[in-house]
Amino acid sequence: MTRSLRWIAPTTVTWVLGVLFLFPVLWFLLSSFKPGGELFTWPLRLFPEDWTVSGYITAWERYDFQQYFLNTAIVAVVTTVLTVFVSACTGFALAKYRSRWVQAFFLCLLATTMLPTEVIMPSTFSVILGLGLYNSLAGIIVPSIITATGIFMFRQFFSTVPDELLEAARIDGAGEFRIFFRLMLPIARPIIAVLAIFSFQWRWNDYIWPLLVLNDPDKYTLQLALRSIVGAENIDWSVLLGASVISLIPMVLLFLVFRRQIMNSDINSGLKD
Amino acid sequence: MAVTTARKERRRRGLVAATFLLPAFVLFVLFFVAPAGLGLAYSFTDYRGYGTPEFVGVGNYTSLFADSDFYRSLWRTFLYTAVSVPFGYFLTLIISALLVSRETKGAALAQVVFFFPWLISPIVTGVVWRWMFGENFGLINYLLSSLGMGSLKWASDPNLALIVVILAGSWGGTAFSMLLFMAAMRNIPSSYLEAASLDGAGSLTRFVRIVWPLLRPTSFLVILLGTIGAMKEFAMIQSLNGGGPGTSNVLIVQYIYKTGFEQSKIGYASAASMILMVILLVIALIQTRFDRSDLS
Amino acid sequence: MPSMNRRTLLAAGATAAALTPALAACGGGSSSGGGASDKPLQFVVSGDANQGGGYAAMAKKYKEETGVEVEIVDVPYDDLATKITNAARANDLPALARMPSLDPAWLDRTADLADIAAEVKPIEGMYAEDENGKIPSLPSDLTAVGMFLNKDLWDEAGVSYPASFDDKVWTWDEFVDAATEVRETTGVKFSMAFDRSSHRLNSFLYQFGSEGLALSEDKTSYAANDKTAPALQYFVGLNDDEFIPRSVWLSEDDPNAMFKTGQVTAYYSGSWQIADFAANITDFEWVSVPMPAQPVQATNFGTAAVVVVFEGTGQEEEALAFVKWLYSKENYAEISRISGFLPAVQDIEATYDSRQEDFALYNAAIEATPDFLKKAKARELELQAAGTAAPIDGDPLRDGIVKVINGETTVDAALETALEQLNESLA
Repeated sequence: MTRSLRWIAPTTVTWVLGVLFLFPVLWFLLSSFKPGGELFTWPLRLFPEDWTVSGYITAWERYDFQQYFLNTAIVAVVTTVLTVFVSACTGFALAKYRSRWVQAFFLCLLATTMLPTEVIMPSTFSVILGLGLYNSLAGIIVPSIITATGIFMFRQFFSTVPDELLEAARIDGAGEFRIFFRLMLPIARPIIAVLAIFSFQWRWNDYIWPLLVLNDPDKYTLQLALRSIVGAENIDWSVLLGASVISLIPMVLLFLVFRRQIMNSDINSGLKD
Repeated sequence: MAVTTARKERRRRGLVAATFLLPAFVLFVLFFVAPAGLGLAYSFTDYRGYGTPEFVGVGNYTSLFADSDFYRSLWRTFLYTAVSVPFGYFLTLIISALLVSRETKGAALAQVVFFFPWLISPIVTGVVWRWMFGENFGLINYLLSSLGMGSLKWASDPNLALIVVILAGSWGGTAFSMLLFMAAMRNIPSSYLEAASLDGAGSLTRFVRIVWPLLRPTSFLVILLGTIGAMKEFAMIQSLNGGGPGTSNVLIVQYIYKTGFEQSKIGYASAASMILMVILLVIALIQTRFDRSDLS
Repeated sequence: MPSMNRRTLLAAGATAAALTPALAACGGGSSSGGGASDKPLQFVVSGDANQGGGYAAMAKKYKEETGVEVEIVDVPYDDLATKITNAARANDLPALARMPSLDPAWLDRTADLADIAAEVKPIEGMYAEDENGKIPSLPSDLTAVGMFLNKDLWDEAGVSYPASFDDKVWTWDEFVDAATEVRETTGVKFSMAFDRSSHRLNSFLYQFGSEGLALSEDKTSYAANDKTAPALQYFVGLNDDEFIPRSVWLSEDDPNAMFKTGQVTAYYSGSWQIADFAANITDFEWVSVPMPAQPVQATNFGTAAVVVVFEGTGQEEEALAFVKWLYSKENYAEISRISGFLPAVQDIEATYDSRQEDFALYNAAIEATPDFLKKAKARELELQAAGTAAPIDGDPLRDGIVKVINGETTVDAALETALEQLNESLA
């Protein structure tokens, strides 16, 4: 096969999979432009007969999206910065200091993902009350900082950084903290970008802590507004679809921005010297 | 002399490690150990969410182990995990490789396409896939019948229902592993790959023999987290088919909700949760043993 | 590049770390209780916006009339109970709330509404007092189970149906025959869609002469009479993928969506669908019809939710005043109109903006239901008010019937298990 034709196979496979992936998304997006009466028709129609933005308008008027975006954004940004920082520190220590206790701690951290939320929730709430964090933004930020996934990500990444690099820096006279800040973190830029995307998305979708910890409904988050569209017996689909699409837009934009950080990093890892 | 210095050096490094680990440790104790400890305590009582709990010893555990529904749910969860984790892993691996390759045209746009499903909430995901795979009014059956093949019982057949869950789960979860693989692949020095292609290796060979082994740390991460996630699956399967048909696809977390929280049997639910955690820890330990990414 | 990254990260980290204590202080300011007459009254509800915003409209009117601000806090239905329970633990209960039922976790913090109840006269059985004569809640509105028909299909098939209780009401056998004929003539997929809930199933049971899984008079046990098992068996028999699609009960397929496709001749659900259908069914005409009787004419009705006022908030007086205002004849009729409520208070003439006939049919159905139901509801409420039974979030009867339909167990075994679970909650 000549060089110039080598793009055919990978591109085709990618786009076949892409179309399969895209189809449900397309349905979702197109349905958001259908009037309520058209959502459940037989036989099924992909495209709306009667294009309308009434779902979007109702959603926008009923819920103060700007306020929710702002509330969620503030918490998401602060939490993400702290989360990335703590995860990087912890992951680094777990990767580079391999004593038995440290590895045991790693398993303990993994264990935090192993209990269902309802078991942990009441007692965590008590802790928040006890620390005096009730009805404050810190009350929803602090419990969200440690994430086993984030720590695990950094641990795996830093474990691919060869010890020789660290040794070389130490011989050069650099202290441990300096090594971390000046050498390790910059190398970890792709992972930082990935965790930032994850963390932002998780906080964007948070609803239970903001609901329980915050008293003022003006501080509630986006996901809470979306969940309240699901009524006790009925769901207003056209509003839910419109609201869901609106709430996705910031995350998509964020992804586009951070994507370059992941894809375009020129630094080829610690393996390069 | 050298020995003492080495030991002092190790202790110094130990202190540094401790400092790095301190924030996580504090948060861990406050927000996990305390609540989990309380959960463990409740598992030995008949607590109902209000009033005072009464100590019942291992009563909850014995009821749990005597309940055949518990084993059924557990078995079904293992089955789901055993199928969905490898499927998701290889699917995402292939997609990531394709997206990172320079030979794929339109990779940037494709990345957005594969990323998007992850952003959609479980409620909406459940509904969209339900409409697609609805047994009576779904799109897939509509297409199948117009093409002359009969419609399939996506909702009434337990295994078909599980397949739909696996597909929907992989669709939604791809972005997570995809980003991790892509970041890891970017880290592989192009010099390795160039040397290999100079030696005559095709792109597939290069991938399988060079890139894939170097992705071991990320693979370990994706597989372990994927396993834990699959074992804990609840929200999506709930919105897709409610654990149906009947109770054939009630996975373990849904079992805990139905028999525990929904009936205000907090003690029982805590006991079942503890057992689940032990199982997951064992799985994590086993997978850690198999993780050879430390052998560099 | 690397140093810029490090500096940015450090700066961000430092800012975040510095902000956190500040954020700890920031928030609602004053915590629980005392002297909060300048703060608005928080009224926690769920789904008000979905239901036409009746409470929001009334809050606005109240502010215009009295200057007191009532803040409607609309919370997701699935999270409502958790929110209030945890608010109780944090000593931060709202002034009042509209809850699905009474929960022992905060029952002892509710104010006594006996005075208001005496004045307002809610419908019998929809409110209860505890052993001390305290009435912890008032019903917010009623919902009732009912059946809808796809009028276009029935007319097309030329099959007649009773349009109101004045016509001869049909039996289940007659209805099954009629709906089957409609389905076969018009070639649609199913005869009936039936909501997946024991709330609807109970009305079905009543129509066969059963009294459902009833709480005994002394409130110590649940039992089912001998008409129950055959009725359940009849229902299971209907779930054959021709009359009723099995995917609804088995896999939580959406019966509401199915009816809207126009491929189902009848839909067994309830009064809350009227507003949704009025807005979202545009392809065909639909009507509410009396449900079949075999031989009992009955529907299942009850409080959709109850209104409670919490103590310890420092705003009890203002909250009670608002509740009294809300339940005055004029205002209650107004909110019933806006939100499409079936009135839970006696002697209310509610006029609705549309589909008056449907609402009239539901109110007539409630009247026609035998008395045992009101007494049974009252007993259930008294049990809740006493606070001794564990709240059951799930639906044991429904879960049992789902298993039967799936072939996993028998009707008798399912009934027994459901009764067992209910009795356990009393212990």
